Amino acid sequence: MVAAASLVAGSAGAQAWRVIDASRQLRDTTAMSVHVDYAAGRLEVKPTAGPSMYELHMRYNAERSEPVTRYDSAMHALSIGIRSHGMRLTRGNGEGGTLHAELSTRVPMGLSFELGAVEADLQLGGLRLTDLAVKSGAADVTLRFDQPNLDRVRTLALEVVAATTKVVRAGNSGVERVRANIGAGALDLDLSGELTHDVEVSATLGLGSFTLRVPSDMGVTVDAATFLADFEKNGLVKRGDRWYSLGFDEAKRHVRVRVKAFLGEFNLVREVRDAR
Amino acid sequence: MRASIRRGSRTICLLLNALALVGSAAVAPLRAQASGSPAAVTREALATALDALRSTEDGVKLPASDAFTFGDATVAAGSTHRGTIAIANGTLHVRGLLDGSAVTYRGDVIVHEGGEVRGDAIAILGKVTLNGGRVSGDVRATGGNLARIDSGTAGAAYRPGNAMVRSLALAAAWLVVLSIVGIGVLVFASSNLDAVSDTLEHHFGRSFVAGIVGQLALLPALAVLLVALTLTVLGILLIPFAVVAYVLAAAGIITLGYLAIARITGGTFVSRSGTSERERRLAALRALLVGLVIVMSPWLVAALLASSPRASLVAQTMAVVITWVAGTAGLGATLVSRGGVRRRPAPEAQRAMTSSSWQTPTPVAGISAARRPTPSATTVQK
Repeated sequence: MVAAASLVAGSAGAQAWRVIDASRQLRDTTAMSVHVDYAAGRLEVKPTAGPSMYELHMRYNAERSEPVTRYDSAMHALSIGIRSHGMRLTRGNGEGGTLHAELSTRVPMGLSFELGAVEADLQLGGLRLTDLAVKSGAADVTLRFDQPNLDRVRTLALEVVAATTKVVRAGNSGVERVRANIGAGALDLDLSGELTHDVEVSATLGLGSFTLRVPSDMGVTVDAATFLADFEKNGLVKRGDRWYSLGFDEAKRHVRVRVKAFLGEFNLVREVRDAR
Repeated sequence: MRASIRRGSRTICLLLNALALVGSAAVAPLRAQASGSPAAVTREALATALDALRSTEDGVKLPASDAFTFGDATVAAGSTHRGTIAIANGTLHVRGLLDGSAVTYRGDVIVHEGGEVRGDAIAILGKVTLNGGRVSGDVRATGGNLARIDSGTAGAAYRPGNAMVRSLALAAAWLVVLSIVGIGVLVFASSNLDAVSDTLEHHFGRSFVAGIVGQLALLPALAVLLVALTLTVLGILLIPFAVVAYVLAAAGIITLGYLAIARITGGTFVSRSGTSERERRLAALRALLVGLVIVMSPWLVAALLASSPRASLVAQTMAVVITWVAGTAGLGATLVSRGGVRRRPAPEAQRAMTSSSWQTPTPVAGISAARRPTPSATTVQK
């Protein structure tokens, strides 16, 4: 039995799981770019008001993957993540490792994610984001802005290949433009939050679906070019080539949507503004 | 009696004391060894571990193993040390200015109040503690299961030497897979393979051109199929299945052609002795397996050269070209012969068929009839 147990233990320990705690102290508040590249596993990102530019804790299998923590002080560019060596991608925290990252709330930053088979919970509210790009392959991504962004996101670029991406309270990011490219995945974009200006949304859909949730007090206009795609026009009236929500002209904030869809599905959901 | 018992007990006590003394003498050096830090990590093990870490962890700047000293070290308050300090089996205290990096292996880095590290602070199998001190570079602690690092095996997985083993294993795996598929084709679709082989043998140029055309038409044909399915509305539901079926069919066609190339190549090296069906099948199997080894050999050579990047690149380029030519010709032959269903007659046989020599009018009497050449004489015997 002891021999059997030692054999089991030996095989269980055959994987080279390593742990890295890394950080960098904040020296100045020069704007920086942050790129997160994560192939497989579970990813959590949140803001930190501490003295660090970033803090991260990662657990990875050294046989299949390698960590990335590189800061280019000349370019003010930070790259973090876990790259896979082969094609063995596993999702979740069972085999795929974990990465918990905290980013400084004091530094203006352009943030980009490139995610493979990842289960990601990205709470970016409270950061000083100026640009945000999320490219997800087969990921399950929840992108949240629980607190208002301390800067204004000029462009939110979302590329959803075969993934499910949910953006919650994107209005808190102060986003000006949203560019979405959806292949066979699903994107759920909720524009609720502290939004004080107009937003431009442009989306290209392949076979996937795009659900846009807009607070009911915002005016919406849609320019849709669809080919065999579903687009429910309830509550919209047509003027010229575009569709307009009722009371569009009276609304203080507007969402201008351009959708090109081929076989996909575009849903516009008007939601009553809550007190969150 | 009592005196003898007392003597006996005294003897036993003496023996026990002697044993205890011997035991303590034996244990004492062990304790000393355990408390002496340098014995826990040898320089060789340290070098192996550092190599493994360097080859697997991106962005890590580690000094050479001979730069490490064993035991604790301190940068005193008010003093400046220029250059990196690397220690193993000890704690590095930074109270002054360290104009370089602080690296520990199986030990901690502690940057105290007033202390400053102008480089990185790295602890391998330890931790970095900032007690009010400053670090200009990265702060990094690596832990977890580093047993493989100590044995040097984890890093070896990504070294050039192992790249060769991995490439060889990959090429061998492809060879095995193709052999299994080839045997299946010989068993279940032997006539199709014969026909494709015949087409390749007698119409190589035509097959190659057809292969190029076939490759160019692969994606447009899929697009046309999808559009056609879309236009039928109901066919939209079939699109995922159609895509999968199309890809499988394309892979099957290419594989059949590639196997035909392998069979012809192997056939030039394997004798076709025997006339029975069993002998014919065995010869075909031998030809296929030998041919597969030959057509896969460029990949095996490229794998053997994996440790040399330039030679490997050249070999891989050649392997790609050879495989592409073989695959293209094979694809074309499969298309020309319609998957081996239509057997194209050999040119010699065609010439014989069209020749009017056999049509010479036969005298009504006297001369035996001329024998008509048949295509089967050249094609069926394959």
